[in-house]
Amino acid sequence: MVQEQQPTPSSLDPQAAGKRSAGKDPNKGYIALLGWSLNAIDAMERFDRRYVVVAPSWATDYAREHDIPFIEWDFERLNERSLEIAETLKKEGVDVSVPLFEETVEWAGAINSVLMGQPRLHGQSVLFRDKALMKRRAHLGGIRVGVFEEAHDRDDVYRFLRRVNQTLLKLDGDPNDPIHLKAFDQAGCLGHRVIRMPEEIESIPDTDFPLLMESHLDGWEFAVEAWIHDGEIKFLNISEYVTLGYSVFVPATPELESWRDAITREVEKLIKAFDIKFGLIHPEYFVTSDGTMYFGEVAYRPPGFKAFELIERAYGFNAYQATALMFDPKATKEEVDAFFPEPVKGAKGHAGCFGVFPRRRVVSELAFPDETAEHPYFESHELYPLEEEVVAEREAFGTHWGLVYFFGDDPHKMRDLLKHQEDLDFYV
Amino acid sequence: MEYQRLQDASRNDPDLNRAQEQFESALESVAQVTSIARAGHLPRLFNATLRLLKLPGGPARIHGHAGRFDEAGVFEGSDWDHPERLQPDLSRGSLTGAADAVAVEALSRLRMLAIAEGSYDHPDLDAAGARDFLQRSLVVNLDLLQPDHTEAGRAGKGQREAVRQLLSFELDRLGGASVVEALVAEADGILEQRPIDVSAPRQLLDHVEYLLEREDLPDSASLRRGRQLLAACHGPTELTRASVAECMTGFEAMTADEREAELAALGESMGETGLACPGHGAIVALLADKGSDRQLSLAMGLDAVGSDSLDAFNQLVRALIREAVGPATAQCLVGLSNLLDRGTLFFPPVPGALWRLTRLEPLPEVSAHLREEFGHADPPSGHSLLLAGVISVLGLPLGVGQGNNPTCQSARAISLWAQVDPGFLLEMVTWAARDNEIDLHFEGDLIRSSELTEGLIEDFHTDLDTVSLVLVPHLDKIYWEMGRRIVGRGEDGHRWINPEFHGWWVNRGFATTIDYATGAVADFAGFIRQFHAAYHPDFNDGAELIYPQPAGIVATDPFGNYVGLHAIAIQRVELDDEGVMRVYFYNPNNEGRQDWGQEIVTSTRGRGEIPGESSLPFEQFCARLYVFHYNERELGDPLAVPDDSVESIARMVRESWARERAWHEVVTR
Repeated sequence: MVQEQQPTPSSLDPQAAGKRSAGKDPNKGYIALLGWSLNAIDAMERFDRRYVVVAPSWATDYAREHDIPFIEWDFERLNERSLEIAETLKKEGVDVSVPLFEETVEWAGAINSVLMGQPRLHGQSVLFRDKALMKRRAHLGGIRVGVFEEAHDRDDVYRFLRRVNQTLLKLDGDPNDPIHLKAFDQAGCLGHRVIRMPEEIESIPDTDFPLLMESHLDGWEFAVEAWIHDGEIKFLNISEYVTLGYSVFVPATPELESWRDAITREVEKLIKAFDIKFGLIHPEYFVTSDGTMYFGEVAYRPPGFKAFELIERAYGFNAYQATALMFDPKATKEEVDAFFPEPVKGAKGHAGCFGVFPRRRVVSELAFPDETAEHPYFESHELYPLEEEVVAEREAFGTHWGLVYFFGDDPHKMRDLLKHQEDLDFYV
Repeated sequence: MEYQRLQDASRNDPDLNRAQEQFESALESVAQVTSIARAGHLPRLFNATLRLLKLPGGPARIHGHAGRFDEAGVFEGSDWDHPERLQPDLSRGSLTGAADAVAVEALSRLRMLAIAEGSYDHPDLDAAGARDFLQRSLVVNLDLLQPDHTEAGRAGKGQREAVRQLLSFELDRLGGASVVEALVAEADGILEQRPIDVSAPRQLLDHVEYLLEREDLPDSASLRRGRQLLAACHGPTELTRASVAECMTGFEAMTADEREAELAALGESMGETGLACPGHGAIVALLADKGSDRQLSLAMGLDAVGSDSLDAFNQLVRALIREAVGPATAQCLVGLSNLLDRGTLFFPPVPGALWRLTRLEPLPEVSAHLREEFGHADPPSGHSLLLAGVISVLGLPLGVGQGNNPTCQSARAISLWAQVDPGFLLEMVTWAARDNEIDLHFEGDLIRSSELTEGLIEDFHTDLDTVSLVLVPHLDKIYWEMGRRIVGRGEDGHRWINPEFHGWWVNRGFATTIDYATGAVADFAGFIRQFHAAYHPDFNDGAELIYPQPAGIVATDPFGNYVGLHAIAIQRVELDDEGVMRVYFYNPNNEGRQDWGQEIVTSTRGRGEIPGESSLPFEQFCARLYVFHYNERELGDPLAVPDDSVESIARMVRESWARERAWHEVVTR
């Protein structure tokens, strides 16, 4: 990729963004975006609602240069100053704040409780931020979850591993069922570990504690993006994971889509259990072969793996604008209903992406496979060439090195294509 | 013409339609977003652009949207946003650069074309300005219209096919005198080197033909030459412009005087262009049985030696024509004419070996391969093709090219054998065609190609002359095997391989300046002094080079950067007309005209070169040399070479290919 030959942010025409700020409707909601995302900002620029971006100081110069409405705020832990930003936004006339990242979910809850005068919203957001609380709440709501516990040290993990396998009536020498360890408050796969053997427990660093332990659920894992307005699901997308942490595509195969009604009912249970009136949720489920649905976790923010971009590629609507619309207390039912296409049938094709991890331990250059580049479904990639030899480590479920995007008509071809990418070297 | 045909055929091509949809969707998304998010959407557009460019008919599909690119913000924030400031000379860097650079340059050029054609108005550039940009840019990039055969091109992974299609499309849409003149000069520059395979210049001439048909251009010497070259392809006389059948009946209906004039015209056209037309082949084939020696001599434009050859080996020459020459293989007449003029038939083993080949029926698989690669709807027999190929190589030994294969060694061997050991070459062709194997000895051991599997070639490109098609796969494996056997000796293996691979006449004296183990430059001054003492007539007591000698050069790009090691043959070292001492050499690369940076540009004409030779002033040649063989009995005094010349050559090397290498000089004083 020739970086210097692409329009770099600093070389863009600063007036261009300002000009486009016209066409905002003062009767519609005023939205604050919590966090910095160029695609989200771009979407709001093109939307008929006023907006302001609340983000850390490092974004200030860029925002000023591009005439992006901006309020500087560093999202550290919530503290006694937290109310300050809520008051600032209130004075500005903002109607609602939209969290873009896991780290700003609780902030959005706190701010919205002030802006909307609903103190309950902050408490609700805390449920999304603590995976142990989240599971309990789901459990209490009658949703099927795996067995889980909090761990404060390695002994807790030993005990949990032993007890889970005891419960499964494993005999000495039988292979253990694995358990999963996750950080309480991190997005997606970050900090996710799988433990099968007691010996593996020693390798968990002290800094990972406390953490959440879960029993392993067999089944087909998938994610949902549900846009909710006035307590009702307005659009439900099912994202099919080909391999968790590697690849996803939308809309899903007909096989997974055949569970849509059951999935919708599960999501409705979740909305009820968490008392969600508006916004976007991103839950993950397992469906077992007999159709039993297990709840994994839920996030109150846009999903990772560029799922919004995939949804836009497949359906044509902008998922950031959809989210802003859901949060906007001034949005009408008519506007909301008119916004979304029909699920699955309304899609122009299937959009998928693959997250690249180097397969060799030591890699020195990007070697994008010809067979991928030549495939008719391949659209683009965001992998970067390496400057020098790198020792690649994959701690737990780490962060991929970049995404490769595909688009095509046939969901099965898409699934197999994404799966096949796992056998290819992108870095050598 | 070509592109229009393709366009018609492509209307319902599903791949093309799909790629176009992808392109349109990507363009749409770039247009839709604001400048804030645009950078993230461009890779998809660039990828779709390249995909579409590579498909026949693709550039036209992109061109249909060219008026939207500015408005969509495709170039926003980049140099391409200001087409009026773009420099034709700099376009080369983009066209030969990374994928994204190629894509954005392509989009910019198609926008330029739309401006030039008046289908799109740009506030800062008018149609004449856009046209001027494209014409000047095309002229400096004409070589990109051909498949890439340079060392740099083969070594680097390019987007050449996309660029080739793009430029070809531009060329046919744009035209204009300066473009046509540049095309003619390019075709001529190749033809002057008398290559055996003339597909590249003929492709250029196809463009010329299309452009000349399309528009009336003011007459000029260059255009006249273009018409002459085209006539040489399609028929330089009224008779040969007709169909082959008409041509033959027409010829038979001619009076003796008319025939003589006709034949003289054909022979002359071939001599002036290096091209022969189908009618020419048909007529000469007719003469093989019924024609007089004088008629044959005129038809082939033979000189005194050629006529003597014809006289002395009359039956053989007629047999060769009968078996090899026809409308489809007319081009081998250029080789036959040169073969006779060079007196090759007077090499004792040659007539016998050629007689044998006139009777040889190649193995069915060899014949099938040759016929398939000939690229003709109704190819002649494998027997004829092989013989025509042999005639071409013997006639034009310096016209052998390696095609797009990393087999400079094998191509060089074929050329050298054709020059100095034609009997051996014919022996080998016979083995390969009849037995599907060849063998060579190495240090006392027999090496048979049929027992080997490995070679340099991973994916054999068959854009080669017939003899190379037959021999290179065998030679490549044997060369590889010889290389395998010297592993571990800690020295450049060519010291041992070259004399055994090529022949005893390769001198055993061997010098290299690249340390085999470390890649460092070692004793460069000593190396260069030795080369002067062995090859420079002022320092080797005027000893002539009796046999051409293999040598190794470091190929560099136009910026002097190291590209790779390359095999050539030193043909002779002589003063040119201006009194400059030059090294004349054979480069198995199909294109002798190369820019190696530091103003080292190889010459192929006008400085005393025999067609097919490249030449450089002695010092410039030294600045790229890294391996040579020498005759130990005919060495001058290395210390007689002035320090200044050694030092100036060393400086060029240090500042180019050895820039990142260690440099070890022997301390002498």
